[in-house]
Amino acid sequence: MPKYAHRWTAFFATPRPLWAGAVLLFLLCAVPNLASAAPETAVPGSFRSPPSVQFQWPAGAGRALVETRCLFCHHAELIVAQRLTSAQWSKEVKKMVKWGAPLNHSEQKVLAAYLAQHFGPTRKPYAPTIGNLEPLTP
Amino acid sequence: METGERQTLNRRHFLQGLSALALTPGFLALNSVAEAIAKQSPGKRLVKKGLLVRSSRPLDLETPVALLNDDITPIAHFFVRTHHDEPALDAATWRLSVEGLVKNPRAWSLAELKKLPRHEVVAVLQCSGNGRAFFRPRVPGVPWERGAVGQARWGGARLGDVLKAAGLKTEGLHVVLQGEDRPVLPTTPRFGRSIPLKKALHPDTLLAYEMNGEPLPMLHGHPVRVVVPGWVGDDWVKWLTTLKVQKDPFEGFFYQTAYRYPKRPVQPGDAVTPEAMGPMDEMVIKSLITAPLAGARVPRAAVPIRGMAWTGGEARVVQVEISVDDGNTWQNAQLLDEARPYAWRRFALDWKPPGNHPGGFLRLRARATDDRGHQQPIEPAPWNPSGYQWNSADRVEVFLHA
Repeated sequence: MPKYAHRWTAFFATPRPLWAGAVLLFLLCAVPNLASAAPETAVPGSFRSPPSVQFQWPAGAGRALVETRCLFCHHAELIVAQRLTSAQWSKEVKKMVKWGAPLNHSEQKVLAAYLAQHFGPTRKPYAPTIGNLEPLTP
Repeated sequence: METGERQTLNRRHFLQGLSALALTPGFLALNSVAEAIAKQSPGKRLVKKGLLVRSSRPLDLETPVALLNDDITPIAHFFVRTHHDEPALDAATWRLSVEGLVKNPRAWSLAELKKLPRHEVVAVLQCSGNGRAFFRPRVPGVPWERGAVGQARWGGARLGDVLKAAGLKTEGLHVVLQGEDRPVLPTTPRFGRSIPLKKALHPDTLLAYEMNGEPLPMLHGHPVRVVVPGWVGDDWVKWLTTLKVQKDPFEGFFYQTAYRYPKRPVQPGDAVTPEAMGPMDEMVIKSLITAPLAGARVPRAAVPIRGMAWTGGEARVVQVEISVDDGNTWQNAQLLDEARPYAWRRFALDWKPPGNHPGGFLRLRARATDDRGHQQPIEPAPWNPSGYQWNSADRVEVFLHA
C-alpha cells in the first residue's frame, strides 16, 4: 500500500526542449498509472510522493555516481539548483559521505569534480519548476 | 475521480504553462504560469497550488510573490520546508511523549491535548534560509529567494500547559522537540531542535493542531507541530512526537552544526570556526514588496506599492518606508494592520510619478523599522556561511513608461 495518499503534478518552466519532452512523456505515461492507484488514508492535506525529476544529467565520469549514490535519498533539484565553487562542492560531498552516501575516496573526487564542472558559480541560475500537489480523494 | 479527466487537466495545465513561457521572458514566466494555474482551478482543492519546486524530495516548496497577497496565507499557497520524507501519522493513534527532567512522564493523545485550553496566535512562519539565493559569495543550501514565508492562524494547546502538567524538575533548562520524520539512511542525522524552557513556557508558544481553522495538514506537521512565534521556522518542529526536558540544548546536528549564525560579524566568504557560531532564535526585521511584481511595467498615473513587514521576538513593526530611487530618498508608507507581535503588517503607498520624471527602470525598495529601533539594511544583509536571515531592504525593479 502506498504511504502517501495524494498525487503530484509538475510544470517545467525551464525553456529546455529536452526537459519539456521528458515531462510530457512522463505526464502521458506515468500519471495515469499513479492516478489508478487506490486512495488510502484521511490524513489532512496528504499527497502522493512526487516522482523523480527527469533531469538530463550532463555526460561525464560523475553522472553514474550521481544517479546511483545520491538520488536515492533526494531528488535532482538539491544538486542542480546550486552554484558552488570546487571547494564548496568537495565539502558537500564529504558531508554526504559522512551522512551515508556510499562513495570511496576516488569516487568522491570524481563526483566533486563533475559537480564543480557543471554546477559552478558562473553557470546561469536554475529556474525552478512550478508544481501542484493534488489530493487523490476529491 | 476519473482518470481521463485528470489526464486532460494535467495536459492542459502543462501546455498552458508552456505557452505562458513562450510569451514572457525569464523569471516573469514563473509568475505567469503560477497565475494561469491558479485561475484554471476554481473550486478545485489542491493540497498545494502553483508553488516553486525547490526540491521534490524531500519536499521544499516556495510561494511565488504573486501569491502572497493575503493577510492570512491560504494553506494551498503556504511554503513547505522539510528535511526528510514526511510521515503520514494517524491522529487517532498519535501520541506525544513527555519525558526527561519531569516528575510525571506520560504520553498524550490528541483528544487529551484538545481538552486543554485552546489558544490561537496569528504568526509569521519563515524559513531562516529565506533569501539565501541573494548572498554573495554564494553559499550551499536550498536557494530560497523571497517566498519561504507565510502567515497563518495557528490554534492549539499551550506547550507550557503540557510541561507544567508533567511537573518540571528544577535542573531542566531546555526542551528538545523531536518529530517523527526520519532520514532515508540511519547514518543521516534526524531533524530535531530544542528551545530554552523560558520560551517553551511562554503563553504564546503552542502545540498547534489547527492551521487557518483546519486540522493541521500533513505537509505542515499533522497532527501536531510546535509554533514558536517570533522565532525562526527551524524551531517549529512538525510531526511532533517527543518533548524531552533536559539541562543542555539538543545534541543533534540540526542544533549543534546547522542553523547557526556567527556571533560576531564576519567578512563575506570568511571561514568561520564552529566555536564562533551560535544558535539562531528570533527572526530579524524584514519586508516584502508584493506589488508591483518584479519586471512589471507600471502606469504613469499612479503606482500602487503594496507589501508586508514583520520582525522577531515580541517586537512590533512601527514604520515602513518606500524608495523609488534605490534607497536615495524615502517616504513613509501607510501601515494597514495594527501593530502586534508575531504578525506581519501590510503596507501601502500609491506613488504618483512627478510629471517631469524621465521614466525607465526604477528600483523600488521597502525598509521596515521596529519598536526596538531595528531597521533593515539598504546594503546586502550580513553575510554568513549558511546564508541565514537575509533582510536587506526588499528590492523590486520595474519599468515606468517615459
